Amino acid sequence: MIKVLKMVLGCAVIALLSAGAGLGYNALRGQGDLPLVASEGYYDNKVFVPCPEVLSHPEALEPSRVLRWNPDRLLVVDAREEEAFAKGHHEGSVSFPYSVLFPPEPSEVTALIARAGERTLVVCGDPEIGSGELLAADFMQAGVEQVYHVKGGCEALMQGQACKGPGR
Amino acid sequence: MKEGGVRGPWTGTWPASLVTLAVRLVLGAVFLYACFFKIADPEDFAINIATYQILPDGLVNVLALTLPWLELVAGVLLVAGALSREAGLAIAGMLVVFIVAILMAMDKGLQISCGCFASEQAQADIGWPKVIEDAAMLAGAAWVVVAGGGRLSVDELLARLKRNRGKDVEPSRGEGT
Repeated sequence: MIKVLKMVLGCAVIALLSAGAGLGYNALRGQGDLPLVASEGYYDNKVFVPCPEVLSHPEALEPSRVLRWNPDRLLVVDAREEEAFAKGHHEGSVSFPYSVLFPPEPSEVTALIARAGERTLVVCGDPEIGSGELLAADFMQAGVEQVYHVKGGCEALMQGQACKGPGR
Repeated sequence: MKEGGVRGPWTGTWPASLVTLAVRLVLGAVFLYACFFKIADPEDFAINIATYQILPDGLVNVLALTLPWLELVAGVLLVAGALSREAGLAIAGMLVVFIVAILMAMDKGLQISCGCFASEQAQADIGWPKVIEDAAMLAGAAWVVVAGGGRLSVDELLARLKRNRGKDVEPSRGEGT
């Protein structure tokens, strides 16, 4: 019993010394040290906005396929940030910036669906964050049946458009 | 525990000592590997801890600063076989905490990476495989707590030196009487 107590005590000493070493090392780091208590709460500042779960899975289309469609029958929605849209976008597309942190209000989604009317919705976005697929999934959730997203995002669609060239 | 308080009757055998050595080296290496990125980047580790949503804000940073150092010290001690039982107990305690944290996060339905290792590739998502992995390591740590460091350890070396010193002292005491 004494041996067990000794072992537990030894373990506690190891833990205390390790904790002391950790705190001491942090203090020596100077300006880059981590405050003992976070100045901004981890939970209050919404650092942990969970990645949106894609409940619906809209079909992904190759850019070439989208470009073959009658442009009058579809509405291309650009889910990238406004700056990216301003730099260049698919002809006739509408900007609808999608943020993972601040998903669009349902009323905004409904308004865009109303704007699309009978046209098929094709969403392109930033493939790195999957904004095109996420926004297309939001449209699906809102009840739109004919909605797709573009493989490779808006850049791929624009490149395809450039390759298609004038007069074709 | 008779021989210098280091070995039990069956744990002192060579086969058992070899098993103990393997367990010590594997466990120690895992914890040493795990601690380095956490020590180098405590901010990142603090975020990893916070994603479990278990600890209050005030304790997240304190744990992020101290836990990796306990992993480091316990890992070094385990590899060396110094204070093996104490180091094994510390590691067993940490593993129990990890398992409970993972189970609580799973119960909340969180889909997060465990935050165990450095690189993105080494970051396994929490789930039953991670629980089983930790449970297996817990069994290893429990073995070390019961068996001690084995024959190939600093503990054994010190115990042997102590015994030899005792043998040297005893005859001279006898001569005096």
